[in-house]
Amino acid sequence: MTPDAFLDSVCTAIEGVWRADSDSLPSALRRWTTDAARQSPQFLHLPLLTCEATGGDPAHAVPIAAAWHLLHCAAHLLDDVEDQALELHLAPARVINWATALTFAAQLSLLHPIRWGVPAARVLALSQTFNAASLRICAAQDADLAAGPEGLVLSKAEGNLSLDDYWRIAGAKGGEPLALACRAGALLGTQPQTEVDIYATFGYHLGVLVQLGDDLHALWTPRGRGDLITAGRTLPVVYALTVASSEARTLLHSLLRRAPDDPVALGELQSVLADLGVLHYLTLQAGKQHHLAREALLSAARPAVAQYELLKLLDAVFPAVARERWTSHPQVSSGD
Amino acid sequence: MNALKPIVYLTATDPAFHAHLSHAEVPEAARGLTLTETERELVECLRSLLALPAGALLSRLLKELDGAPQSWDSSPSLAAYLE
Repeated sequence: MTPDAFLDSVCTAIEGVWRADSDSLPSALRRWTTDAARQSPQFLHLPLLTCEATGGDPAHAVPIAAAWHLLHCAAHLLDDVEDQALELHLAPARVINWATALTFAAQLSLLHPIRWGVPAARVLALSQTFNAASLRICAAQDADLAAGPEGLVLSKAEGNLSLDDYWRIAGAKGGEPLALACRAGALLGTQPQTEVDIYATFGYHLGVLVQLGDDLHALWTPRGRGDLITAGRTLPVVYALTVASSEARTLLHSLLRRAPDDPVALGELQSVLADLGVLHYLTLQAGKQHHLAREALLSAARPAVAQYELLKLLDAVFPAVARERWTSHPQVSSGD
Repeated sequence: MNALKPIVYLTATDPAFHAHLSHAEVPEAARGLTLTETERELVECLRSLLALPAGALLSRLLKELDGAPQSWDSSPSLAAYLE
């Protein structure tokens, strides 16, 4: 199945779920979900590619990708509500209701493979996989929210979010969604559980790598005030607060509070972060995540054309570190 | 990968250490840093990026990230659909 044909099928599947069960919801919400799929299809292909890589029927990946996308849309809306980053004119209560509808629509889509002859036990396993991953993501979101916009751990007096806290939250919020997309697709194949875990590991590190790119953009090319309000929970800031002197930490907190509404404070914040080495640290960590994702993929027992596409996607997510890998010697070895 | 943090900190705060990054041997041992084999090879792979000053590194990262797949950057505005 070509990527374009797959995308068309996923959008048709999403429209089918809406038509059958949610006529009363605004048509705008329904159109938004399919247009979002068409405008950002790269990660939507993960269930297809991992299904193909493990010998599954690509057609079975269609409702799974549709379910994943609906859940992803729900998470996006809830994230904006929780970060107080909703677009103007959107009422939080209505958006929460829409996100709830998207979540149930995803559950309906997950049942569709039964109609195509996929064994009920496997459909149940898929449902369990989706729900368990969703719980982990919600738990991480809770920890993220508890940390507050400046990355202060509210339960510990004057404690900042630690690097360990950051990696735990980034793993669950950034890694888990793409691990889910990869695991769900691989579950449709004929390979043993160890192979399914390999693709989930790939997706996890791919997702964390995407998160690092998002963190960089949030601080240096913010889309709006919302990105800056939550800047205290990005890797650059958490790292800086970890290595900074007490005096520098006080300055950082002051700049973080002012940056969303003060371009001068934002410029100073960026300058302090760069001086503390956050860009070099982020580069090293991006290289590490790229390495771990690639090593996981190359350990799969059944090399497939789909693996090549997965590697291409990995390289595209954070091109600077990918380029260095291919032009530097020696290559990072496995192990450790 | 525990030794990566002190390497970065030295890169940022110690001009002599940063200068050495552009040469073949990173003087980690001289600074009491013990790298695993994977850490050492990772630093080796990324040496040319790590040797850049912060401003040049930022430009390079952002330039190459332009157009890269991101979580939601290119998604349509929901509000626009409701107008």
